Amino acid sequence: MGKTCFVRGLAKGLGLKDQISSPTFAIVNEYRGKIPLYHFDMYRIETLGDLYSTGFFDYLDQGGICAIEWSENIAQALPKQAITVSFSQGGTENQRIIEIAGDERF
Amino acid sequence: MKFLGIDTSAKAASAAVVSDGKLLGEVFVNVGKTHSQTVLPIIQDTLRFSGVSLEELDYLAVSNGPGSFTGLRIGLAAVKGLAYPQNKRCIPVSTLEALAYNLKGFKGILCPVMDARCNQVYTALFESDGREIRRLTGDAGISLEDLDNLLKKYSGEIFLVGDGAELCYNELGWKLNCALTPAHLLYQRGSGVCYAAASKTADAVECGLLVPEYLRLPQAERELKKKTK
Repeated sequence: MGKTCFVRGLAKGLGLKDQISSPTFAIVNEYRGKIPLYHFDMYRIETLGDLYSTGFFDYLDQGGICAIEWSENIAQALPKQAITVSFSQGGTENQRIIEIAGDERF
Repeated sequence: MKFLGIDTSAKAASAAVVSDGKLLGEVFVNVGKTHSQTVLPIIQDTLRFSGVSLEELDYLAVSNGPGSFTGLRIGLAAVKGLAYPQNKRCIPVSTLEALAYNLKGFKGILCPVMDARCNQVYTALFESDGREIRRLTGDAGISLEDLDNLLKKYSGEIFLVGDGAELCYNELGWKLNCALTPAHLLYQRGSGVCYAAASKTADAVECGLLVPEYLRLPQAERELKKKTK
């Protein structure tokens, strides 16, 4: 659907030079820069115990950006001010409709 | 007896050197920096300014939980690395007990509380007569509601200490006989780790046997998916 592609653009915007790859197997990939980027895939995370052992709560305190794929799996643990980015198929194969919803920053 | 005490169990990082009960030096930083980048320079500076070398230390003490998943492992790994070459004795200290030792000299019930999120806390109760600190309950992850019920059983002043203290004070403290610990004693400190360790040198182990004690949360199995309406 283009989630990792979107994060690649986010990283570029942050001035990060690293190659961005899908965090599906590692669950989280870290990219260090002036503003660090933490890229999560919560596909296999189901419980609070699972989430704790990813170090998720530690990352929240580190002043970086957490890009979270499959965030619906941890809906109850997301911070209140989280910004939601939704993707859906556009009219042609390479088109995507991206909706961004969040607090007063948007 | 010379102790080095280290804590990286939550947001702050701290190291201290205590020699025969005297605090020689301590570094405490609470700026949200990654512990993996700060802990070794902090230890190095604490030892250097305290005038104590690694060789001279009798014990390396470290808080081994409860606490942050990553933070605990960073602290333990640092201590293991420092202790291994000279096979120094290590003392694992409960993070909650180290917090209680911040209040050494106080009189009353000491209630260290660490915020475990989702209205859960890690806590244990201690009693202090102004000289000695005695443990009343074991370390546990419980809900705020259960902490409320637990604290109701105790009379006299209750001192809340730790990063969950403010949360507990706001939620429960006003109706119980609780006092919030002053800001400079509120968080985990290397000195608290040292003083707690000094009271339990019999627990010393070789560094390979140090393990983190992640406390199980009451809601560990709770599903986090959006509730279906």
